[in-house]
Amino acid sequence: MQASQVSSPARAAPRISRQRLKYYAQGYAFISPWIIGTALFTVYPVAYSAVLTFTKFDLLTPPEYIGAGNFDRMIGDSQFPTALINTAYYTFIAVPLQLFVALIMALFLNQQLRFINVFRTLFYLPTVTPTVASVIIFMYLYNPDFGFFNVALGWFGIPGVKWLGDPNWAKPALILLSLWYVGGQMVIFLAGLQSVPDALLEAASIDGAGTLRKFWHVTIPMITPTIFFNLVLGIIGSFQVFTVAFIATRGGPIDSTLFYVLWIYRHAFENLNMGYAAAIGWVLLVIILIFTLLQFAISQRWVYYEAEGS
Amino acid sequence: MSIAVVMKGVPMRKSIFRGNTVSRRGLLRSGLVLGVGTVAAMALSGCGEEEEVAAPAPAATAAPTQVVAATEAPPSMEKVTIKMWTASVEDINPIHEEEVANFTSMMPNVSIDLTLVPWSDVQTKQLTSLAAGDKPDIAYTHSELNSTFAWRGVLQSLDEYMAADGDFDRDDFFAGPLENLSYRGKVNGVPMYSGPVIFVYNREMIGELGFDDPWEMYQEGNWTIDAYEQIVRAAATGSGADRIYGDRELPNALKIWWLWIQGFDGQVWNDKVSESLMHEANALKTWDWLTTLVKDEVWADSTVTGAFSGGAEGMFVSRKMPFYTASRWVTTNIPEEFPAATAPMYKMPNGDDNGRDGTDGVGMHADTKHPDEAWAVLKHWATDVMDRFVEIRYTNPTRRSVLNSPAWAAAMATWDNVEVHNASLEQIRRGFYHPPGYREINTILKKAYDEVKLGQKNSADAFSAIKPDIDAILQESSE
Repeated sequence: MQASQVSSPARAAPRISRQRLKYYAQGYAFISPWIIGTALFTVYPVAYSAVLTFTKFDLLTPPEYIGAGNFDRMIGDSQFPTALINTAYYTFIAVPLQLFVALIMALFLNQQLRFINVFRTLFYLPTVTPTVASVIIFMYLYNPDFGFFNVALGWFGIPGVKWLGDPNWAKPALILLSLWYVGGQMVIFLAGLQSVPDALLEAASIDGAGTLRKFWHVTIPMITPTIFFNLVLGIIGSFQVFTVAFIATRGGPIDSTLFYVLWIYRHAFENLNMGYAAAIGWVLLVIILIFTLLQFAISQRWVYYEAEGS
Repeated sequence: MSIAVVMKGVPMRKSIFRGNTVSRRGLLRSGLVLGVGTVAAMALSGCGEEEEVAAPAPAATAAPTQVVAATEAPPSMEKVTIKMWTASVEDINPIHEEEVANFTSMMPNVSIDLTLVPWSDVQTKQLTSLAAGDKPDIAYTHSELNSTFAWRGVLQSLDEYMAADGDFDRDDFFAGPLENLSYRGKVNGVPMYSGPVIFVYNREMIGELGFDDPWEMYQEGNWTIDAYEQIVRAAATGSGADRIYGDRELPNALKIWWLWIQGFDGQVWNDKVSESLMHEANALKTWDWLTTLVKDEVWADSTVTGAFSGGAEGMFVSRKMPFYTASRWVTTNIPEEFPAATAPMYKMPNGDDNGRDGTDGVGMHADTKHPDEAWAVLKHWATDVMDRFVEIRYTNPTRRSVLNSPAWAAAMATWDNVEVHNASLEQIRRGFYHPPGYREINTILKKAYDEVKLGQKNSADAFSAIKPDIDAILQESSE
C-alpha cells in the first residue's frame, strides 16, 4: 500500500482506486467458482462435522447435543486401539515397503533401453486399474485352496496359509496387495532420479566411486526431497486405507483388518452413529497432522534441497 | 497473467516464490500442505454432509383420507408427483421403468419420480438422502432396517390403508414377508422380493456318494439336519486345488443364523428384546454346530467362496461342492442342463422346519403429502408389478393366489421344482425380530463367531463377552 493513499491525520480508511477495485473484482470473479465450491462442499461440511462431534446423530432424527460424550465413548471403546494399531501396523510396514519397491522400479525404468517408455507404461498401468477390480483379482490369488500364492508356495514345499481368512496373515496380505499400486510413487521417483545432475555422477566416477557408492552418496541425497514427498503422502494415504479392507475382508477376521477409516464408515453408515463417526474422523485429522508436522521437523535433518544449498 | 503480477504489492515473507520462480522446497512444502488440507477435508466432509435432518414423526399415521385404486378415478385431478426410491437390479429395472409409464396412464394426475439405486448401495444412499432432508414419498425398506425406520418415524404404518382398501387382499399375502416388514405389530412396507432359504444340490454328486435324493427324503419326512450333515461330511474330501467341500459356510449374518439358534431350541433375544440370549446353553449348541462344520472344512469358509470366481454359486457349478444353501435369486447362473435340484429347509434338531426370507420392500414415508396416491403406487407395485417380477424369475411370489398361476410354474429353470418353492414359502416364519441397531449387533456377533471358528475362544466365552455390548444397543430401542 502506498503512503499517499492514506489520508492523514484522521487515519481514514485507505481509498482504493477504481481501477484497482476493478482489478480485484476481476481476480475474485475468476476464482469465485473455486471459492464457492470450496466453501460449500469442503469448508461447510468440515465445519459442520466439527459441530457433529458434539452430538448424537443417527441420520434419521435431528442431532442431539451430548457435549464431549463421543470423545468419552472413544476412550472406552475397545475398537479404538484396535483400529489405531491396525492402521499404524499397515502404515509403518506398507509405506517403507512401497517406497523401496517404487524406488527399485524407478531405478530399473531409468535405464536407456529400447521400448523403455512401453515398460514405464506397463509398470504404471496397475495404478490406473480400478481398485475394486484389482482387489477382487487378488482375492482370487489369495484363495487358500485354489489361489496362485498357495499353489506357488506348494512348489517349494511350503504349506499354504489362509491369507485373508487368518487374523495373522490378513494384514500382511493387504500390505502385499498395496504394492500393486506403487506406480504413482514410482513415477515421482523417476522424475527425481532424472533431475540428479549428471555432473555430480561423473565427478564421483572420476573420483573412483562405483555404482553402489554413487547411488548411496550422490543419488540418494539428491532425491531426498522426492523421498520425503512420497513418504509424507504415503503415510497420509495409508492412514486412510479403506477400500481394500472394505472389499476383501470387511475388517475381519476378528477385527484384524479393521482400519481406522473403515471403523469410521461402520459407525457412520452401518451403525448410524454419525456424531461418533465425526468425532473419530476429527481425531484422525489430529493424528495425521501430528505425524506430518513431525516429519517436517525431522526432515530438516535429512532432506537436502539443492536449490537452497541446505 | 503471471504469478509475479498477481503477487505484486503483497508482502511474501518466506514465500515459496523467488522472483518468478518457485523453489523446489517451497513447491514440495506447499504440495504437502495442500495434500494434508485436502485429506483432512475429505476425511471430515465424508462425515459431515448432512445439513437438514428429517424431523421425528409418529410411527403410526392418521387414517387414509380416501384410498385410491390404481384402476379407479383419482380423488381429485390435482397433479401429483410421487417420489419413489427402490433398489436397482439389472433384471427388473426395465419393468420398473415400464410400470412408471403404465401407472401414469391409469392415473394421469399421478406421475412417479423413480430413483433406482444399485441394490448394494441403496441402504446407505437412502440414509444419507434422508439425512439431507430429501424424503421420498415411497422409500426402500428391508427387514434389516425396517425397525429402525419405523422406530425413528421415517416409515408409517400401512395397516389402515390395507384395511380401508377393498381391492387389497391382505390375507392373500404370505404372513412371513409382511411380518418381516413390521414393527411392533404394524406393517411398514409391502414386499417386493421374497426368497426363502432353499438347498440347491447336485443330484449326480449326491447319488455318487450313495445318498438318497434330498427332495425325495423331504417328501418321505426324512429330510433332517442329520441327513444333511451326513451328506456334506461325506462329500468333503481332497486338498489344495482338488478340494471338494460339502456346502458353503452360512452367510455371516444373524438374520440367517437365528433359524439354527431356534432350531436348537435356543433364543436370540428375550421377550422384551432388551437382552441377548445368544450365550445360553441351547444357543451355544448352534454356534458349536455352525463353527465345527467350518473348522472341519466341511463347509467352505467365506474367504474361500468369496475368493472364487462366481462365489459360492461358481463353486457349486464347478462341482466343488454338492450343496449350495441359497435363495432363488442367487441361482441364476446355474446352467439349465446342470444336474441341479432343490429341497426346502430340513427338520432342525427340535423338529421345526422354519424357513427364512430376506424380504425387500417399499414403504410410505411418514411425511408424505400425498398418502392416498402413494398408497395407490405401493399397492400397484406390491401386486401387478410383483407378478411381473415373478415371471422373470427374480422373486418368489408373495401372495398365495399367484401359486396357481401358469406364469409361476413357467418361471422355473428346467432343473428346478415349483413344489419345492411352494413348500419353502409355507415354511417362512418371522421368528426373529430385527431390532433397531441390528447391523451394529451383527458386526459384534461376527467377531465372536470368528473367534470360535478360528479356535481363539470357546463359544461360551466368546458369546458371553459380547453380551453387554449387544444388550446396551437393545436397551436403547426398547426403552
